[in-house]
Amino acid sequence: MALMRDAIFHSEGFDPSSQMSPCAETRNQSLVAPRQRTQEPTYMSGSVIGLCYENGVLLAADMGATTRFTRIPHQPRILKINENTMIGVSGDFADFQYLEKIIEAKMIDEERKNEGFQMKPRSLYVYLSRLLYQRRNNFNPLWTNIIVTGMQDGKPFMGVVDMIGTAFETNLYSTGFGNYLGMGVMREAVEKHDGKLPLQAAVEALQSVLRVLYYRNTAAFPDYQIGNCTASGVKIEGPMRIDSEWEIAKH
Amino acid sequence: MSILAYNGGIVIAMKGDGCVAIATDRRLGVEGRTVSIDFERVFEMGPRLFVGLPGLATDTITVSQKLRFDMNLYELQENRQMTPKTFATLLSGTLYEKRFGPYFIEPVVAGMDPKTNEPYVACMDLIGSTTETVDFVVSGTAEEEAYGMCETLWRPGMKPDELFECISQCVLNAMDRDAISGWGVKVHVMEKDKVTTRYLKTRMD
Amino acid sequence: MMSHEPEPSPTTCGAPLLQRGFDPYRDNAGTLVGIAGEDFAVIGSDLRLSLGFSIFSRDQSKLFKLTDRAVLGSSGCWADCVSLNKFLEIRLKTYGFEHNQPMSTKAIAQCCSTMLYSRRFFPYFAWNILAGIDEDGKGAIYSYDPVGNFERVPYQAAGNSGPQVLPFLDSIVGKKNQSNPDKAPITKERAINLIKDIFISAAERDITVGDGTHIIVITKDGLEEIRLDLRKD
Repeated sequence: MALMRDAIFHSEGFDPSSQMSPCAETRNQSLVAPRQRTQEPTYMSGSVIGLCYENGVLLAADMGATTRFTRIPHQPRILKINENTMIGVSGDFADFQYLEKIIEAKMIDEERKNEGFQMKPRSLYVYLSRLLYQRRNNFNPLWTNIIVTGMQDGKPFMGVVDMIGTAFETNLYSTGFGNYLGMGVMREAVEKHDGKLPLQAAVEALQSVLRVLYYRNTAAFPDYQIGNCTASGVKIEGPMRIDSEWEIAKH
Repeated sequence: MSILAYNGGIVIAMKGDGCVAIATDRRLGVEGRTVSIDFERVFEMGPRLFVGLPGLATDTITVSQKLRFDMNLYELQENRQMTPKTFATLLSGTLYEKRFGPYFIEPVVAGMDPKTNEPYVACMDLIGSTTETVDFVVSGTAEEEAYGMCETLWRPGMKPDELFECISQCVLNAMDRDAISGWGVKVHVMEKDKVTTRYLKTRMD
Repeated sequence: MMSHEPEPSPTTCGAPLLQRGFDPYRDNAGTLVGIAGEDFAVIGSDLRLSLGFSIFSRDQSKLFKLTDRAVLGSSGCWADCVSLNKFLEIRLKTYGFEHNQPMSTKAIAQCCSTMLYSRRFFPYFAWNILAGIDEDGKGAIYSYDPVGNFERVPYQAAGNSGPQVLPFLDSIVGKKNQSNPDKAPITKERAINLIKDIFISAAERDITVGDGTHIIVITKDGLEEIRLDLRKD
């Protein structure tokens, strides 16, 4: 009978969420109760912003995750995948950590095969878009927005994937609040330099967006990281602190 | 489906050079079922003043009668004709009076100033928020289709004949892509000394 | 004997678990226009990818080049559009390997319909127009609804601005409501210019149309691409 119940409730094949249950008791319950799925997120992280510049691509995000009442500070959200790829993730923090695991397993697998290939950013972007699309088809979404960046055959690359599998390539993007508050600042910087944005100007644009987001979003954190991917590899800097001026708030 | 699309219907008004036109379809339906093919939803409120009241047919009739009553009072009291702009303000006020239980019509006003002959077109939503434009206004169930037609066919400075051709093509092609508009068209073209009313033959399906 | 019914769990309190809070569809808008001629077909899309009031991308064509004589335009839920076209690409590749020739436009048209219908009860939220050259070398436009109903038509507009554009095509290309129309078939140059004008007009009234258009002209010699800037607001 247990086998039959297994067949009824676990007929969709491998699902890590049931394997990662914290204790045997809840695991047992998941056998008898209908499967719980993410219908709403819990710990959420804020905007990830990204920008292609003259000879590379930048990602920036504040560090931490929040619920309505609690905060977990100092959580990095920008990941180096390999020497030419990095990703930034916003949304449900647990889903981010799950994604981190999947990608890590994939990278280890790649290394183990030792064929001399390294996954390029566009491949990872397409892979993630298929993964998230399949999850939404099963009504079990990974509640995340992902920006995949890196150097694709010597050129800066940026691909965006959202929680239902919407996927597109672009040269600048921001998830969350930054989509409204920051995209204008970044686009202005890009257009001012006629597509040849120097690194320094790009970093300054990102920092000014981060500052606006920190001022305007109660759930934002003052610490942030900036990831830089160029032909010579991925470098993630930080934690750094947003220099903010709160005197103006008194007037 | 919205109550505004219960009976179906479309009205377009356009400005030309010293002329204004207003056109409407003639169908009255109950959802998909056609009940009448000579329904009036555009009313002559003055010598060169027309109002179109597309939406729920019962409110079309009620509001047209109420407007007629208010206009008669105004003309008796003031002993002059109402300008299109004043008329639009009156209509807007009439609709806003029923802010929380509105008449389900989205009116179009078209006319010429009695003194200056200045063309005037305006449209409003069902609670009286008015939009005056320099080119054309559309309202009714084929609104989107009519916008597409007017946006491409309208150009400034059209003479009465050109204006008639333009507005006719706009209303014909727009309503042919809307299942609950059609079954005949009526077009009024206002000039400084006359109003021409024409009925168009259309496909009846 | 144990019941097959799930036992009440503390999380659901015995109530059936309802799916709520998660909507698997997004409307990313997009507009498509296709016109078929004697020996050519033209299809155009706008380049703006949006969700509500935010713009995702200003350079995302909705046209997918399937073969050198067929192009599919997809708009609606972008995740579904991309997925549909990825699966379609697989089908076309497989067909190519098995038959040692590319799929004909007519066969692609049927294939699209079958694939859309395969998701009848969890549809791809995608409005599609297929443009191509048929076996006789004539221009063809196929129009679809999201669940695979399709029809060969001389011209079609779909997507967010479809209702605005379609009556205009009826008037100009279909020559509807005209007493003595010139019935000469539309020329390639006229069709291209018409599509350009249509997108310029649509951008005036529809906030989801803008940034640019991507037009592909399909003739027996292959595909010719044209890009045109539109207003960016």
